[in-house]
Amino acid sequence: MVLDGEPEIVPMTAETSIRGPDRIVRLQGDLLRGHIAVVERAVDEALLSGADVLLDARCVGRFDSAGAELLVRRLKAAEGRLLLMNARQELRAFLEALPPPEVFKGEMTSFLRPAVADLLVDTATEVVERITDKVRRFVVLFLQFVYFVTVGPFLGHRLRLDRAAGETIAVGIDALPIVALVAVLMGLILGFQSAAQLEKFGGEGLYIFSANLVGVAITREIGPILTAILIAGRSGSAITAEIGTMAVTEELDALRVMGLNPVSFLVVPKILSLVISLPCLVMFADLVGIGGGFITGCLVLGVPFSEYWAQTQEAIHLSDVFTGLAKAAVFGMLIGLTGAAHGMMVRGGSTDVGLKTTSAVVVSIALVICSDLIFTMLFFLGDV
Amino acid sequence: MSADAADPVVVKDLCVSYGERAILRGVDFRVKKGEIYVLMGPSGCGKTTVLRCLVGLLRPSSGAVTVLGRELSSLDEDQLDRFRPQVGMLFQFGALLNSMTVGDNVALPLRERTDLDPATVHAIVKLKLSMVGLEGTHRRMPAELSGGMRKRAGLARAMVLDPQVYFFDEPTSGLDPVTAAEFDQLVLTLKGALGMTAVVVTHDLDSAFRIADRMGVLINGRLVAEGTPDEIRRVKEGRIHSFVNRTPRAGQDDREVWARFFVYA
Ligand SMILES: Nc1ncnc2c1ncn2[C@@H]1O[C@H](COP(=O)(O)OP(=O)(O)OP(=O)(O)O)[C@@H](O)[C@H]1O
Ligand SMILES: [Mg+2]
Repeated sequence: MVLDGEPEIVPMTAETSIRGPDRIVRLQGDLLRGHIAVVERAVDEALLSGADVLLDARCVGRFDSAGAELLVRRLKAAEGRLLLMNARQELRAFLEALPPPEVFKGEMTSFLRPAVADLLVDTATEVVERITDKVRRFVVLFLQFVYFVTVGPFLGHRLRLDRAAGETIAVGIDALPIVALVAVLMGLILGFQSAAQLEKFGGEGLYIFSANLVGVAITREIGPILTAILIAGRSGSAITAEIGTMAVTEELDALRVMGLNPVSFLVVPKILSLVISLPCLVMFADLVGIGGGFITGCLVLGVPFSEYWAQTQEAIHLSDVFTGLAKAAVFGMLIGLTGAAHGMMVRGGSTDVGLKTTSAVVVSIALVICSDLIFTMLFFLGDV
Repeated sequence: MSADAADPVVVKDLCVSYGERAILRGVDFRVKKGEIYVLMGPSGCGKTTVLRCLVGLLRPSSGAVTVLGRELSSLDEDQLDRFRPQVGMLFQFGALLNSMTVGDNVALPLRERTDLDPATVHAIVKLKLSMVGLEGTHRRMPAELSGGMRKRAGLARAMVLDPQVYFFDEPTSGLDPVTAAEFDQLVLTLKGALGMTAVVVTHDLDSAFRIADRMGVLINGRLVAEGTPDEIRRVKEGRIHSFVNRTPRAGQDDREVWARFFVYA
């Protein structure tokens, strides 16, 4: 588009003449995207003749980046057979700003080899630093959480149960369908798997004991772990994304400036909501999972319902259920802390929000499983 | 300039670096009570960084920032939390909480920091919103506002506790000329009525010269000029003159680089 008062666009012409052993291509007009073809054609023809080509840019008027890029590319490709002369200062300055040709050619290997070694060392140090940093932040956040739910309320930091309740509903109710689906499927699967093993030991008569296996597995392990993993993926990631975005848009800073501590205002309610809702969801998952086992046991394997029910009641101790729920509360806290710590770690822009969110899910699942091992070992040793 | 111990904002030899990069290299200024101090400077020179130090969001590498008689680096997080409601800050992009309505955003400091009853809170919120020309928007979400409207809502939130000192980060950028002029008027009114003290960061020269009692020009991490608007206008030194008079920077000398290019070509 040409604005009023600007000179009209001058079409490009390229005239080729012969001087001694060289060809001279004299460009005249504006070196714009639309005029590239003319230049290309003239340069190609001149180069085909086998002679060296001088590109005379004295009469080039305006130019745009596409035109300048064409010049650099052709100069590079011709490997010294094409030379530019008489270019105006602005054009030369622009050409100069484009990457110089030599960077692309030359000794790639010798250039890279030491760099790779350096890179490995750098990456290793960086990874170690990042992990220590994460651990430190996680511990600090944990201590802050403990402070704000224990002594904080007596020192003027209100415990925001209203916000926690709202979050709990969002975390809990919305997760019910997916938790139900996964739990019932796990119940079905466990039913079949245990039946297959029982059959080896004593035929179909032992099918009734799948009630024990399903019940104990679901209440002690599968229920808490599966629900925790689902919630880490759903709510842990949401916490990181939300807090991370708030860090990017300066919302966290705005809270601080209003004298509101982001940990007490945002993070504590979110963690509390997970600590409350995860055990509830696990209880629900236990029921649905046992229901799944019952479908396999009674409807597929043909165990009478009343027997299956009695067997289940006998197999599951209240302590199984309670250890599962206690684990769930701890998992909830781990997921919340990991999610929030990652969110507060976001620096820079939206890319970092994505990276930290992924990282939060991975780390919290790993933490959940690690802590589950610790729990299981404690119970096992305690029982013996 | 009299060095009064009661000056609400005193910045002494403020230095900030991000890693190796020194952003502020010794900034000194003080703002008297009831004065509007405008901080100008090219993009990226560290104006926002100065404001972040003034509200204690950023701990300086060295130097001292004293706001309302309190040396900020001597305060811990809890004390900072208690101090901050006495100042109002408008962020460059508004920084409204996206999960709440505009009205709740503006009401938040009142709900958290005072025990006013809900009806009073509502009335104050409506009043502040109408002061910035946003009446009737209190039920909308921040995402439904334009950039300029978000900024004005942020201004209403900054004003809601009637702080003694204001920090404004580019209050008029992204506003149309009429709204920008209204903002200037609002600042002058507040100053006349309440004797407010303010540090205003801006690129908007018209606005700067309209509202400033004194102004400072920040270039490359240093205050290179300070004075009343008239004094600043008269400065002849190259960089400041070109900034205040909107002339582009002179082209850089690239002969040397150009010589390198010929080697490659
Ligand atoms: N978190 C950070 N990490 C590293 N460098 C930063 C960070 N924040 C700001 N900077 C750098 O500090 C310098 C000053 O930033 P600042 O935001 O204070 O500029 P500004 O004067 O407000 O600019 P503008 O007028 O464009 O808002 C910039 O060069 C920026 O690159
Ligand atoms: Mg800024």
